[in-house]
Amino acid sequence: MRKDRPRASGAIPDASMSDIAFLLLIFFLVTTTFEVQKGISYQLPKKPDEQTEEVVIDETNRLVMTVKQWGLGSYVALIDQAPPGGPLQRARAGEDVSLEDPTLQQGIMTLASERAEPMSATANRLLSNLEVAKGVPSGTYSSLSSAVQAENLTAIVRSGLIREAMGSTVPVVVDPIFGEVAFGDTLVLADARQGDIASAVRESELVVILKFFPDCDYEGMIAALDVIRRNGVSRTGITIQERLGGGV
Amino acid sequence: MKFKRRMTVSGNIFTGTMADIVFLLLVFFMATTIFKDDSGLRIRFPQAHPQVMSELGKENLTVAVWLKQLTPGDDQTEVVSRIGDYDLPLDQVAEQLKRLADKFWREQNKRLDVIVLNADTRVPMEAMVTLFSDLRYEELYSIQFNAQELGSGI
Repeated sequence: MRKDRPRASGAIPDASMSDIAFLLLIFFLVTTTFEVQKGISYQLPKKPDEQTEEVVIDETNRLVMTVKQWGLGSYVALIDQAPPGGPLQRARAGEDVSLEDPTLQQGIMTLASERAEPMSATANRLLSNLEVAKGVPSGTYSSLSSAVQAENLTAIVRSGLIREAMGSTVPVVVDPIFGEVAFGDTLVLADARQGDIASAVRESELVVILKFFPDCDYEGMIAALDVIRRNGVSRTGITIQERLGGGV
Repeated sequence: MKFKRRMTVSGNIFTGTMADIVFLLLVFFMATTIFKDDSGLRIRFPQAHPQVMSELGKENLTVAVWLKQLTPGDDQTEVVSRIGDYDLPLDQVAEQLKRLADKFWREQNKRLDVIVLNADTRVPMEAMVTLFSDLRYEELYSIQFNAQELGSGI
């Protein structure tokens, strides 16, 4: 009688290999992230040289605040100078307000919106951005309307945060090319093929000077910039407030 | 009666090539995975609202500068900075950036667009403003303060 000895099989069960393959695939699909760096962009003022004098901003367009550290992660502002007759006044000693204070922020937004730049300034900036984007020397186009005609561009207005924040009280101008443009809106020139080519934001002529105590944390500068940018200010100056009374 | 057994269709999928597929996928991911550039200093980023932040387009040529105090929070310790793989004291940063900008212009005919500042939250403003005036002196005006979105992160 022949009896088949059960032979131990040498094969590794490979039935689950596809499961493992798919699990690994799904794991990598789900966990792969592309890190994007975001931040607050800032233009430093041009270096003062012999020809250019330091431009003194008129007091009606100037808001000066001293920012100091109140504690870990909290910062307060003291208003040194404010446009006369506006919602914000020079603070008396000890009248620090938190940067998050709604009255302060509302005051800044009001001051900024009252000083919204004229459309001509925004249009000029848009025109030079267009010239840079197209790689042509400045002065190629005589005006924005001729540029739009010549390059066959579409003029678009993108609503800004200020329009949402202020609602119907936002200052608006009507432009022949763009239509209704509110303070804080972005003007965009687009091409049918390439999409957006050049843009410019209708900014405020208000200048906010931030003076920081030397030992104030950098976080305070970001917090202050955040607050004023959200409330429509684009022109800022950053300096150090020298400590009163001397010291090291 | 003996029924003739019908030929049954084998239900087995041929699994012999599965190992090949797994290895192919493995090699593909090994070749394409890019690790995040972790050469910066370990800093705590400040936070800001997403509305005031912007992304830099890939067409911009940028250099990232990392700044922190040797002992964060201790204003007596000096501020160190890192550009690429090199550590330098704060007062040499602007000079080094100017050299890099000139190098880019000479060798690649590209202008340095933006200097990205990754500074720890506790760096004192005195140091930052000194850096700003150094940058102005070197005619480097366009900077970006990198920040985390409010409410995210550690």
